[in-house]
Amino acid sequence: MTAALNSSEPDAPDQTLRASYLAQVWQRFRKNRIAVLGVWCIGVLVALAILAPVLSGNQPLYFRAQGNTQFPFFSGLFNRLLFESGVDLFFNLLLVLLPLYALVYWVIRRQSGVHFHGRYWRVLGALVGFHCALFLTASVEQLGSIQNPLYFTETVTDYHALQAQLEAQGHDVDSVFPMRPYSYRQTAPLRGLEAPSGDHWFGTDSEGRDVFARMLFGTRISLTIGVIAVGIYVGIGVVLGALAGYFGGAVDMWISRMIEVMICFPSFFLILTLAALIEQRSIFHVMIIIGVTSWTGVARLIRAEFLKHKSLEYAQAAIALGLTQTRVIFVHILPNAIAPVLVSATFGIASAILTESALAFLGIGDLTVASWGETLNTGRTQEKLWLILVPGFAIFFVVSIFNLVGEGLRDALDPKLKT
Amino acid sequence: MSADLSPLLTLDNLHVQFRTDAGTVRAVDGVSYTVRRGETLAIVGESGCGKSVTSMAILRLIESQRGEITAGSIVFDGQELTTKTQEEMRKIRGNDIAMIFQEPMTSLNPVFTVGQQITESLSLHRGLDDDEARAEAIRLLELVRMPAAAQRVDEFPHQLSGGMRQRVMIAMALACSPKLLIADEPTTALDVTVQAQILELLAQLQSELGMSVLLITHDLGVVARVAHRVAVMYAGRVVEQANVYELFENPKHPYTAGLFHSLPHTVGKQRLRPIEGNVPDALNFPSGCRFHPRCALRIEKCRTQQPPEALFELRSPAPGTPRSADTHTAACWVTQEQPERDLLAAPEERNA
Repeated sequence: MTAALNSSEPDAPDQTLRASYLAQVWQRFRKNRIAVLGVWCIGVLVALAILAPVLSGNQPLYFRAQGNTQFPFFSGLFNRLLFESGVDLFFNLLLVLLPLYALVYWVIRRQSGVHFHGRYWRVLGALVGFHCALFLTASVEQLGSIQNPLYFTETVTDYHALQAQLEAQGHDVDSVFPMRPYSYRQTAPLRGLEAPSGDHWFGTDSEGRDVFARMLFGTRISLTIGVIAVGIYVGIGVVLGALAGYFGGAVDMWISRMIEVMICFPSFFLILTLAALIEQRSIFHVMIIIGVTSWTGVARLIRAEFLKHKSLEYAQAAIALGLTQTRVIFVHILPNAIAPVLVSATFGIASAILTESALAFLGIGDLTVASWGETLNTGRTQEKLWLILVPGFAIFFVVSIFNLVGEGLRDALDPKLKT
Repeated sequence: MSADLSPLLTLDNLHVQFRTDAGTVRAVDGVSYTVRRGETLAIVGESGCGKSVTSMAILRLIESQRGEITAGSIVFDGQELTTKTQEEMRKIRGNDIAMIFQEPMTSLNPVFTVGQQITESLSLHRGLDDDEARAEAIRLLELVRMPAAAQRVDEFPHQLSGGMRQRVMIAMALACSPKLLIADEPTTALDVTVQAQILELLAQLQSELGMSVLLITHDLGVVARVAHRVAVMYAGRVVEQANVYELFENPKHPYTAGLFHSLPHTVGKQRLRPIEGNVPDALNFPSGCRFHPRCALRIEKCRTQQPPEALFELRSPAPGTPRSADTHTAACWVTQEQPERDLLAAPEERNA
């Protein structure tokens, strides 16, 4: 019976195409060497961002003196005096917990065997959700009467000085320090504006802070800016665009007019004005401002896709199966409509990084974080070449990388585009 | 056909309108028919006659496409559907009434595996967990005679042929054992050999599961193969209803007869006689009988007065059906005045 049916169905399925849509896109993407190189570069950037404290910091990973073993690096990761910004808290948590996450993922992958592909995504989503929840909990200063332990005033021991002192006293000291011995926030008023040397690879800025360390930690800021700002505006754009495209009529009318009004503002000046209005700017304000002003493009893309997809039969079939409208919109139509947004989001990350750098360069960013634009601004005011070249090249590099990957993604998602 | 002939779905004088920029389109204009338990009712008609809109109206899917039920009633299993909220309808869709669509190429979601699409409705309406739903999905694929069901369940729609996709659609529709299956041109997009298999499958499943099928098609060959009763629609109205034997032997509406004349014959030498003209524009239907501008038999009355649906004497009763339930109605002034007239006769005779 089976064999008979198989042979009588004329267009038998192509067995070589045993792959999901994403896997097919990846297959096409892999043929674009430069874009693949770009993905590797992004991987390296992410690794640098996570490993930044190991590469540059003043707390030893391991310190042994007078029969007393200490690991000041790990407690230092959550010391509010060493790392002030929330971005650092997020990445430091990730640095500590990443092995655990990898283990959980591996175990679940082993256990679920050949089950549905959706399970991997669910596990990945759960891990990301868990980490964000942990980060948010850790960022809250006080919950009811419980004081967050991370907010207790702590002292910072200068282990370099301690080691020198103990060795001078004739003690045996065994220690492992991060690759470079400077914290990105450690000021040295007497060593300001030093040119690059073997000690300070990229020199120091006007307050004597190590530029190499600031570049490293700036990677965290740039990546976070890119991902969160784009996440915010893709979120807003997708929801508004989906509602406009799916429901049409009055909903579409109102949302479309809203989009048109937003488009009328020159976006950089709008961002500049909004940023200037906030007195105590943090880096998260900057992300939110970029996010809430840039959603129009995504909304229009998604709206157009929904207009096309809602009348396709699979959408009608999903409704006819009795699924809720929310499910039809976000589970059935959205994955089919999201492709162009992926491309525009990749370009968006590059442009968000550029916007933040521009704000910091103009002195309207968050002055407490180690942003590349801020170093660039110092270089401009102090007229020091290395303070301009190093962050300038970093920004150029990251923006180019994301644009190359975006380009590769666009070609992979739309095979017809290639001639 | 099962012995129980109580009505499952009754449409009474249903009117559906669409508001467009050009004016109001009366896509369905007073349609009445009944689907009984365990029977297959075929709705036949040209493109644009309102047969699909009627089925979309039953599931109340037309509201999302700016359509509106302006009059009439739809009674399904004792419940009036026209007054239900969309949320109440959602619980009926997929659960009590399921639908399969014309294009198997586009009616499956390309980003999900076959298994995921089938299990979705299982976990929604029947509350099965992941593993139970997967086992049930495989069982359903086997039910629709999907070869190698246990492997196919993890494949994506683009890996399947058209016939296999239509089997998946049917499996999805059968997931919650619906009382009524609406099949909107289920075989139109398929190869002829696959068509036969799918029709065979539908007929088998219907007798195995005892559900009712509302089959929408323009293909009289399909009708002859699987339908118990037939309703012929033209320009938003039902023009003739009878059991399938009676309709093929003894049509009483010139439009139905015209459909038969447009079919190629395998015996004898007859030229095809297509129906002249086109389906009228839904924005302004002709007065009187809507078929009169294309009808060779028209009389003066047809131009001005709409013919009522009248009962005709049954020449070929359906086997196993009580006579009281087996009626033949048609809406035509000519045949009502000359009930003995044979519309299938060759044209020379008819002119004589």
